[in-house]
Amino acid sequence: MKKKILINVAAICVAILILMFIQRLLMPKYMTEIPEGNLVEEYYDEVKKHDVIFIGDCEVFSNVSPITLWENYGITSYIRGSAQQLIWQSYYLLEETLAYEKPDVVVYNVLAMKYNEPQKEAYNRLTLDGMKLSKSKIGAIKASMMKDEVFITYLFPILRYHSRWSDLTQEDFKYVFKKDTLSHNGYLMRIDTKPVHIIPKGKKLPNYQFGENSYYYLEKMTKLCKDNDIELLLIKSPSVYPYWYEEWDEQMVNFAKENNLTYINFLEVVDEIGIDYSTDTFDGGLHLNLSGAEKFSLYLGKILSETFGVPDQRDNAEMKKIWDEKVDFYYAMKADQEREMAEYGYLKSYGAQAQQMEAE
Amino acid sequence: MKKILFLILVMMLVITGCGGQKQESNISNQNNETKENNTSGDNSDSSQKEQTQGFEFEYHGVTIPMNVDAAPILEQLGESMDYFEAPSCAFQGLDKIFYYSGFELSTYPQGDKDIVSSVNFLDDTVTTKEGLYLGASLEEVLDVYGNDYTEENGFYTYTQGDSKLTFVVENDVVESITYSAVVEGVNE
Repeated sequence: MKKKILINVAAICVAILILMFIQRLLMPKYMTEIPEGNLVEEYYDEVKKHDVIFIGDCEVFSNVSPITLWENYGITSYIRGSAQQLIWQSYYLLEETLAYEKPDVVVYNVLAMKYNEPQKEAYNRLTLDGMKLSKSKIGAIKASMMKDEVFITYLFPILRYHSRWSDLTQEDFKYVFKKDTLSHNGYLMRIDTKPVHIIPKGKKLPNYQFGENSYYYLEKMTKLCKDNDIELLLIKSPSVYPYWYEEWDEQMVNFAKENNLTYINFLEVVDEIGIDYSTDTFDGGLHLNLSGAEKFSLYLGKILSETFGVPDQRDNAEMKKIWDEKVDFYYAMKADQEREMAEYGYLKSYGAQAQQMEAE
Repeated sequence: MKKILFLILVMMLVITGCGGQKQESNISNQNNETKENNTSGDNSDSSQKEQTQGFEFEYHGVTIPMNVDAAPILEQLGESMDYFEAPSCAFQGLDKIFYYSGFELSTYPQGDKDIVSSVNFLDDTVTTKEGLYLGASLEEVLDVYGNDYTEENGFYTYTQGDSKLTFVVENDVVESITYSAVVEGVNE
């Protein structure tokens, strides 16, 4: 009888292990394409001692270099960014982050205020699939799901990705157990340049008022930070597209005033920052390239350091050891991208656009 | 042992079989789902038109429906005066805007194709198929397109098939005219 029970338990354990393996195998790896899909997950491998946490969409993970903040101000930071990160996802990612560590400052990029509702399942997946199971993840899923989505597919992604079995590639097997680190504390590096040629005018909108849902989560985020004695800095990153309307800016100015927060629209100080959109963007103004991200980070670091009093950790031996390795990885990737630019004229191995160019 | 094999067999059946019709399986290819039928096969203008049943813009004899492959349309329109492209945050491919005299034509990526997402009037040298232009009156809009519209802060929107036609009216004068595709995540 006892033996029979043991065999049954063993059979169930083996079945679960096999299911877990198959799930890992079937989930997209985002190694050679859409590296943004890895950003949320990479955080868990980090030594979680950061004085500044950035949250938001591509306007943070493409525009801010934590290495520059470290090298120039000794600021330890991490970007919990993801593609089209909606504000409720930002809130739950922040809530999850605070379960691991307590930064001095949280910086939130406000572009996503324009989305009052979930937009697309694919974008949801890029943020939510990478989150570890937690109360925050469940909250994020519930807030993010489109009408036709099924909750359980987020808890058991095999139910969503099962049909990938016929599309599996070498990459899926290679990275089934361990993935490479692609970001620099959440920053996705691109050194190539594509100047701003034209900036489409903002189309008229029927209503410029940010939605109730957006404000609900911004208020929750504000409260979460206040409850944890964390300074919340609201920013509009200096990307020139998508269009940032004056009416939106005014609402953020007012919100910051009413809640005793600081809001900075960096589009208003691009000259002071020194951003040159003919050399500092890799896609015509949507995202900054390395040169632009370093300029912006240099400017932002001064504010974090002088206005918010974020400490300089360069004399902290433990931190220095950790960050020295990060700095080496950063410059190694920079050198590799420079090599690819020299060899191929474009970034062959970095970013979706490079992939597309290769296909052409 | 038999139980383990049975369980594995059941799992494999579940994994490979429960999908029935193959779902879109790769996040990066999800955009491919929306209008594949419209854009595959015959790309000729007439066949695209039959399939859309939505609003269409006409310019110098070129018919421009929404949600169809832009390639044959762009070929007929000739080289644009200006061009803007914007990679999305995540997906491969580019949102594109082609600037022509009097209007701009926007596209979104779907697989290896660019699909028409909107046409926006830039001046009064172009008109809708039914003759409406920037500067027309609200009364003219209602005379031509009727009362089956939604209105929000001066935005009069008519929906037909998978397309919308929006007139922005200020002080009873049409200030903006836009055709747009109704697609999840596009034109929002």
